[in-house]
Amino acid sequence: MNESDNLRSDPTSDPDSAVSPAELQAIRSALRDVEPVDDLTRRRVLRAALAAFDDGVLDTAGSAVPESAVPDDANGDRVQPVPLAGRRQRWFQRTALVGAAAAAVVVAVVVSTSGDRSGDDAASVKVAADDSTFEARAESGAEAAAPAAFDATTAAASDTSLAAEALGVPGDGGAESTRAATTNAGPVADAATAATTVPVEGESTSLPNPSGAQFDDADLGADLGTFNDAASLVTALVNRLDAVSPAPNATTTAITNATNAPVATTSGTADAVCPITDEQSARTTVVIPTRARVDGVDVQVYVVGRGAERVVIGLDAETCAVVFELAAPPVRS
Amino acid sequence: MAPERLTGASDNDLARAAAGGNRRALEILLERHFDYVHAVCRRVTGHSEDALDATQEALISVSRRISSFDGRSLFTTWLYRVATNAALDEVRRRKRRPTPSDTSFDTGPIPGDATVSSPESAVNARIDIDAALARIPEEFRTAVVLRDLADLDYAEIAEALDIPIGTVRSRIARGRQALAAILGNSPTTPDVQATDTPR
Repeated sequence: MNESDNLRSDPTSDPDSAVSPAELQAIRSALRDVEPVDDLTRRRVLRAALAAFDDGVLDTAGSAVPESAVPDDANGDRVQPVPLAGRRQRWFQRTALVGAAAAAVVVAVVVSTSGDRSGDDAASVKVAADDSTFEARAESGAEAAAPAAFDATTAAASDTSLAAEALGVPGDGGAESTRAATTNAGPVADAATAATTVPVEGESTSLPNPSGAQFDDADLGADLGTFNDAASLVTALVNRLDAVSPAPNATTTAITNATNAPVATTSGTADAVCPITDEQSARTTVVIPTRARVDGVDVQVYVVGRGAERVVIGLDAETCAVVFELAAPPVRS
Repeated sequence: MAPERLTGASDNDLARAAAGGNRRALEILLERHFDYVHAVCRRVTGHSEDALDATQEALISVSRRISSFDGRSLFTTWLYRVATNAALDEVRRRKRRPTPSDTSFDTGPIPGDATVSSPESAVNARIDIDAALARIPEEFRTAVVLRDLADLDYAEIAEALDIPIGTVRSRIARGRQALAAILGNSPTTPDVQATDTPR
């Protein structure tokens, strides 16, 4: 008697004898009695999927954030484009966490290049909330998609969940992403150290911010310059954040402090370093595109939303698949 | 592949065409399997909105990775693996969010409760199955959904979930028993602890 026969004799291991045919039929019928998806939602989902096929990363409709599959209007008469994170935002609003989330900045860097990338390093800095509208622009490689507006307030309150999602366990892509992250663990760790020491080329850290109260999208949308490695890029980015922050050098300080500390400890979260999937990267990328060149390769820097007292820098799963965060450093009063 | 031949092509032929850059082939594939992918996501997540998000994530993932589909397994096996993982991801994301009230599953009333209205109602039936699925371990739920909803065979489920076939059988058996009992079709209360039968 083989293993299969043994299993078959045990009703707890034999699916066919576990329940009666009538019970099985009832279960199957119930499972398949799924509420239908309305045509509008269906088209929306299919369009998003085909757009992903078209350009590999971003929505050709112009939004860097996949629209929610869920119609905003329950009546179905008119469906507003809603970023996937939008429902999280509304949820946080309901749970009164939005207030805490609106006080800081979340930054993501998506390095859409091949090869090793730096990464295991980031910091957060408190920046006064900016209620302006982000100009979201999807770019993939050298191609720039059409501009699309993204309501900054949507991103503002949702970033706590954005951060959480960006740090989340990936799905099917997880295996690949995990492998990618593992593969890049070395460069990431090295870059984290280098981030505090590598000179930055071409950066500007003298952005005007007399009041310290505004986060100028135009400033962040500027070309960051040319860098020898991704760590330098990160440094440039945080320096730029420092320049517009009411807490000068807070970002850099956080990176310095974090260099020798486990990120998990620094951030206070167990899964502070983990891969993200392409989808998660896309959905958390509310874009102010900033150009840079790293090691001779074009790089996209994305500033995404704002909110929780931390910064999340995401590196695209197809390239380096690392997300990392640091808790906010103390902000100078 | 000629455009006029795409509609009647097999899944794997379409997948190969899509992998070669044929957008229309991918579109046909996604449209063909949309409902099943959504159904799987709906049953695994137990939540209509999460299911739609998971469906979208799954189809986007398929679109991005279709070029890597090598045809060694059935397209549907690969597809449902992607869909299942997208749904489980959505469930995990939901679990990480603190909930002021437990709305993680569209559970509604507990099946078997005397206050439950007529099971003839389709709405109530959906509530029943959602509530029942919510009460069984995720591993059992996923296995049962892939077998009894997606019609995957044991080997395909084993491949999709990356577990031995014996474990698949055990999970399906125990999941079915649990569902039947919860739905009131069995006099016994099942042990629905998520421990697999030793292989």
